[in-house]
Amino acid sequence: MSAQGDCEFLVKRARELVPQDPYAAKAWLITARTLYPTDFNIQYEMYSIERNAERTSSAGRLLYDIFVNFPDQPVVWREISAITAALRNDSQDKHAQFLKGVFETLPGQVQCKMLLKATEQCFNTLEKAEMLLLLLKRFPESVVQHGVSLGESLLEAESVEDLETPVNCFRKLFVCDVLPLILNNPEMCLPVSLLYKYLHKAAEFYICYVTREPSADGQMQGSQEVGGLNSPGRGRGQRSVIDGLSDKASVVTEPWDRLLEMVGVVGSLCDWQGEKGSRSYAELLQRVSDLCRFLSAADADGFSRCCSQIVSCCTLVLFHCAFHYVSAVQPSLFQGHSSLSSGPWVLLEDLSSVYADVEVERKHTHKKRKLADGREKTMSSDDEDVLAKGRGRHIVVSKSEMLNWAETLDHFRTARESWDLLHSHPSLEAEFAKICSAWKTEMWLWFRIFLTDMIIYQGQYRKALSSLALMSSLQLQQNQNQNQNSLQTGSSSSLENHRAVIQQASCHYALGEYRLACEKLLEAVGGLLPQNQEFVKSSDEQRKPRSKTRRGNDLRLVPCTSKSILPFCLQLMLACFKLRAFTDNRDDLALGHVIVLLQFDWPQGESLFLKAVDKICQQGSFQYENFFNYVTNIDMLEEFAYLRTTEGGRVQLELLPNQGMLIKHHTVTRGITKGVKEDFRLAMERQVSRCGENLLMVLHRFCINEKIILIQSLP
Amino acid sequence: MPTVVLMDSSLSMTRPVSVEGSEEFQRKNLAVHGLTMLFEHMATNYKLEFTSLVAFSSLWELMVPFTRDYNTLQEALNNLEDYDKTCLEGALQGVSNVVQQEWGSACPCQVVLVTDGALGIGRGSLRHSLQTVKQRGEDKKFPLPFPFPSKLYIMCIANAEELQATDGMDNLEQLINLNGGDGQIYTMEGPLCLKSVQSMFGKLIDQAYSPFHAVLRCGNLTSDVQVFPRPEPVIIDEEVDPMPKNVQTDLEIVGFIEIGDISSPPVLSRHLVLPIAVNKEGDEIGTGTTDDTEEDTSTNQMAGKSPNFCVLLHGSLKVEGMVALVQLGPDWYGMLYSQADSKKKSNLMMSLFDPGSEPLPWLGRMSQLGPASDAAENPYGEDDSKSPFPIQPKHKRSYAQNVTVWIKASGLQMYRKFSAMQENYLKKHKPSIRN
Repeated sequence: MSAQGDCEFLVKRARELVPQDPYAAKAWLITARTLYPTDFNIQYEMYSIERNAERTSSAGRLLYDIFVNFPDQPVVWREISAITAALRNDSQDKHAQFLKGVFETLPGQVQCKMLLKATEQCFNTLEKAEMLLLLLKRFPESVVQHGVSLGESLLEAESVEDLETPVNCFRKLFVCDVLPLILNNPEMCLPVSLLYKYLHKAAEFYICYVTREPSADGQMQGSQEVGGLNSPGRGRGQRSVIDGLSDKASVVTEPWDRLLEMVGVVGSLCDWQGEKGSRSYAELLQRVSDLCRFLSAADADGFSRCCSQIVSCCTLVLFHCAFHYVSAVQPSLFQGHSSLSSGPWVLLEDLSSVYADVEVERKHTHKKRKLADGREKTMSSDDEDVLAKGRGRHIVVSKSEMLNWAETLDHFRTARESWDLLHSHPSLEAEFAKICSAWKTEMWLWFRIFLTDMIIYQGQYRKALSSLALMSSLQLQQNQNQNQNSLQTGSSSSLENHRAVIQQASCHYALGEYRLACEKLLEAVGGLLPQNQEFVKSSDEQRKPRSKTRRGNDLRLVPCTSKSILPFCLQLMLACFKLRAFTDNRDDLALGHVIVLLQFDWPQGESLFLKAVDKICQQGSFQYENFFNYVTNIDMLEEFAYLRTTEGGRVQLELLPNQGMLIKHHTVTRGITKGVKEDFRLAMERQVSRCGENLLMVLHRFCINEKIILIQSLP
Repeated sequence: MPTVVLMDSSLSMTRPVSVEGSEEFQRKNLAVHGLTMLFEHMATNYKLEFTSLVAFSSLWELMVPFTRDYNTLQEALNNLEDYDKTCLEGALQGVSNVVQQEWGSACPCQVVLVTDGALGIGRGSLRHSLQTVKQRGEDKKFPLPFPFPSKLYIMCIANAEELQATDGMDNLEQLINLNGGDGQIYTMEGPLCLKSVQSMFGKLIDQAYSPFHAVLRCGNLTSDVQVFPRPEPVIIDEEVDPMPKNVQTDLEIVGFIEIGDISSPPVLSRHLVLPIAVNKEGDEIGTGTTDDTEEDTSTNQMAGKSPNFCVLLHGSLKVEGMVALVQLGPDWYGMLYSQADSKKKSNLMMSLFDPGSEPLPWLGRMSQLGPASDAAENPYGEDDSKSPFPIQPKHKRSYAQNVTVWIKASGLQMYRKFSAMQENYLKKHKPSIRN
């Protein structure tokens, strides 16, 4: 009792002297420590004085003594927690900097023990992991002892909490911080199966990270209260924040490059064949392709040994290129791309030859069927060069509208080659299927978009239609999730919803199912808003020479805008009706539809129109009651006016609605009809006055108003 | 130089034009307005021009044959109907037929094509014609180039942007090139309206239908005259750097010579020389109306009322059987002479010689000519009955006869001699008729 009282007196005395005479205070404390070496309060007071005076070296030395002699005091751990928090946090706070400095003055062994001890004090898995990570970073030799266990504990925590997405705080910590330490430590001896497991975990994280959906509100759960790091107010922002992590910690820089780097490290650890550290994904695919070809020719045993290598590399290349392709054609799916002004694109059949003659079209159909058969045969053969498959079809892009069109097409081609390689052998396919199942790629809307485009490219339109149905269901779920966002991006989301419908129309057309194609495209047209003013095409574009017919039908990447989709729909309708209108059978309705649709892109449709006129002359009559509703092209009107003349063939034209009644009304005697000619003349003159109307508005109205008749006109 | 107005009457010409105000115009109305302006100008300032009107669509029709009656042309213009498609090839063939029937193949003509630039599609359209023009046989040749000298003016009831949006402008330019490059395409500037169509036709009038006014001088005697048709600039092919030579507006008579001595020289072109009478108020009056009787009376009244040098010159040349040499420019000469249209009526005409100091070799240098009285001995003899030009061959040849004037260029007709010299000749020989 008297000793404790003395200690308190001495401490009190020293504290009072600090403002006035620091050195006297220090003398008192030194005296006190000499008298009572085992008293904690005296030593802590000395430390506090040094700390408050911000003298790093003295504070460190005193902290060392306290830690060694009084490890069980709660005050000590509170202080150590503050220091470790400063170490984990990259704050530029002055106090934090001081605390870091104090820590640095400690001997290495003490630092190690202190961190290890601090780790044992943590109850939260994330905090514990971060603490241990701090230890591993500072003392690489401890990676051998704690690295794998830390990684496994993180993965365990992730599975325990049953998180929906791999983009979570545990996975992020594992992939970005722990795994590089483990892989780059030369003393680690990990089994190959564990390396593959870790590689796939990392790949899944990176892929899901870059393909995150955009979200305006960062719904962060502010359950972490350590040091105010994860306060609720700090999580809000334009970028999505990984739950449990700060804004800064949620950002992953250069994810694809880091993944490629990791592949290189894992490859060297696994003694991959032919691996020399690829600098790009294309190079990676090239090496794997060469390896696969070499092994196929050599022996099956070697092939099975390298199966994991091939599948892992090919899978990464596939997803890397598929991601870049989809981010170009559907940028709104991904975070960070919403701010871009470019809209979505859609892969469709190229209809440049829609104005060609019908015989050529039939020839095309025949070639297409033959090509499809040949392609199916080719895909099942192991001896075929997989790289040659991509040369069959050409994708036309408007180069002025898509700036990175070359890269996009290159990504698309590389992704297709990766897919073909993964499906060139049963064992590769099986292992790839396992990865996809583990990663739940079926739920990835963006990957479904790529698969659909790839299937369309391969000409398997039936499968493409199934894929589009899957895509629609995925899209429905996503739209429900983003119900709030739809208000902000109302116009673009409606067009994106029609993206699948337009592709369905294109696929049905390629399959020869014209009625279904027409249904789908009219559904798409219903959602379009025709432009207020008609664009005038430059003469260079109009007189562009048509490219020579290739072996297969070309495809076209079209921006998903009213400006581009409406022309495609009109041309597709023309392609559907053209086959029916120009058969030997008489079908005035289809022929009339063709004439209406040929107005678009005039005078490209001139030769087809003259062909239609020839057919009308041969028939001797033509009946189409919608003529004066939708035909405003002056060249066409002149031609029809000419058809009634003696020189034009004196064709009997029934273009006015209810013309039968008019004929009856005008009949006088002997069946001679009076006034019909005059009615036609007046109608024609009235029609000429409409030549200045916006053609797109006229054709859009044609699609909307005549939807039922159009669909019923097709078989 | 006769003019054929080729008017597009296809359906596209009925397209409306948005004009400020309540009244609605079609392109046809703008075209009619422009042509009305042209016809009124001709009736006032260019009345000697012969003009015909051809309308075309899928077919072509000669609405008005060549005439100077601009009321008839205007009436036909107001009664134009609308037809169907635009077949320009047939129309050009029609123009070729109409001109050759009336004027033959030697008379230069001007063709004014009025169209909206919507040239149609298919057979008969200009685009189709131009695509096949090189692959045709002799029986179906493209009507251009015209078999007669011609200029093709294309008046587009459209602005340049509209024509360039299609290939109309290219095709029309190709049309002019096929016709030897003589001519021009006119387009309306800015929006299509009455003002811009007036401006466009005004340019055509300035280019092709402005009268040529000159001053005819003989010493102190002068007269204002109009030369019709307008003399064209001349380019001499032999020059290294040819510059077009233009007839001066100051026509000075530098001498007189016997008709027999001038013989029948080669000329570039022939023109009427008409006096421009000025009455007391100072207004400019033409030489009369298109009616011959009225014109004759008016001319007589005018001649009787006020003296005019042209009348004096014309009468003197006619009576004396001489021509007047006139200087057109530096080293460029022509001649003035009287030409009879009928027994009662004749006109003062001017023919242009080739540029140069010696256009008539049998006369020598023009600058060396001088009065006969300056010679030591009269070259025409004491009684002016001999002529030193040209040297007469011993045998009588038809080409050695005196000057022959053809009444119509399209064929050989009877000729008559009216000069005193010719009358003397008739007394010595029996009259003969040549075909």
